[in-house]
Amino acid sequence: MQTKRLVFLAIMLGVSVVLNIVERTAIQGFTGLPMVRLGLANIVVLILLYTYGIKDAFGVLIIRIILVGFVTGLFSPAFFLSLAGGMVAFSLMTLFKKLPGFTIISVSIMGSLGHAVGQIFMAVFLLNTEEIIFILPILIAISIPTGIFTGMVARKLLESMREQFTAHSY
Amino acid sequence: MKRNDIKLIAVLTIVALISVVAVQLLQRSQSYDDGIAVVTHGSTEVLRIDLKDGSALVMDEEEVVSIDEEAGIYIVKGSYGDNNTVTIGYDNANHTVRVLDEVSPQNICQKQGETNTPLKPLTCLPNEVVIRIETPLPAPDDDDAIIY
Repeated sequence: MQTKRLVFLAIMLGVSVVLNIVERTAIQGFTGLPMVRLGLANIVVLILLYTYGIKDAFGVLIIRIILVGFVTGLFSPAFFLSLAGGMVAFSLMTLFKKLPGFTIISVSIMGSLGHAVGQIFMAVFLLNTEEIIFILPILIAISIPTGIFTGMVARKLLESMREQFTAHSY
Repeated sequence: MKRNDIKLIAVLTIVALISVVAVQLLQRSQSYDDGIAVVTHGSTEVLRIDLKDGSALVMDEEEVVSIDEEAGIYIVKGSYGDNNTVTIGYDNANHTVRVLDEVSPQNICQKQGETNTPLKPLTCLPNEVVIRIETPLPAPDDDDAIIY
């Protein structure tokens, strides 16, 4: 059982690193807005939150941020933006997962929103430019459809993996 | 989706739309043809470009590569990679500045377009170059500017 868990987490980590790098290189540039992304790597965090729980999901998230940091530059602005976005997103996702009446879609939206908020505040701190906060409304607007999209993909994947895990309500 | 999901999406959509419209209106009302574009690299103030006529005031010579006020082209140093630069262009017709060229993974700051409002700073994150717009100083005969 422990081996199965470790193998699954390792695969999920690999998938999230690849998704994150693909997204950075192939998707992000289209929008013309800094910090806008689909959040494909967040699908992995959502799946782990609903299968192995908070600790494993957090572990994979942190290791993914560090591994991607080796590509973008460890302790570079991009690394700190990812770290701040990831932390705020994870906090909001775990909070909303515990609240009654919300499904994985809401959890995903809050993750997407938290990522935007965390990154904006880190950018304000790094660049010492408060005016960056005016990008936040457009990022919040974009985080709603992107959050719904990643949430629906995660739910579909969880449904297809249902036999592997204890039954959950997504 | 449950009822709470729909409520959350509705609330966030309303909040986002209201704030996007509010920021757009603010940006339009607070654009300054006679503002100052302040260019910083990291924590160092590098250059000040007057949006009235494109004249430049160099604040740190070490950080400026070249300035062509006639053409409205200002090249400053960036942080991404070795010997990287950020090229800033001044548009005399619209009294705006924009990033014309820089080296970064996604060239996002080139895609941010032009600005002449304090509410739309141009941020080149990997290069750590920021262009902020400062409002023009009040004229000396303004009552507010007189200190007794």
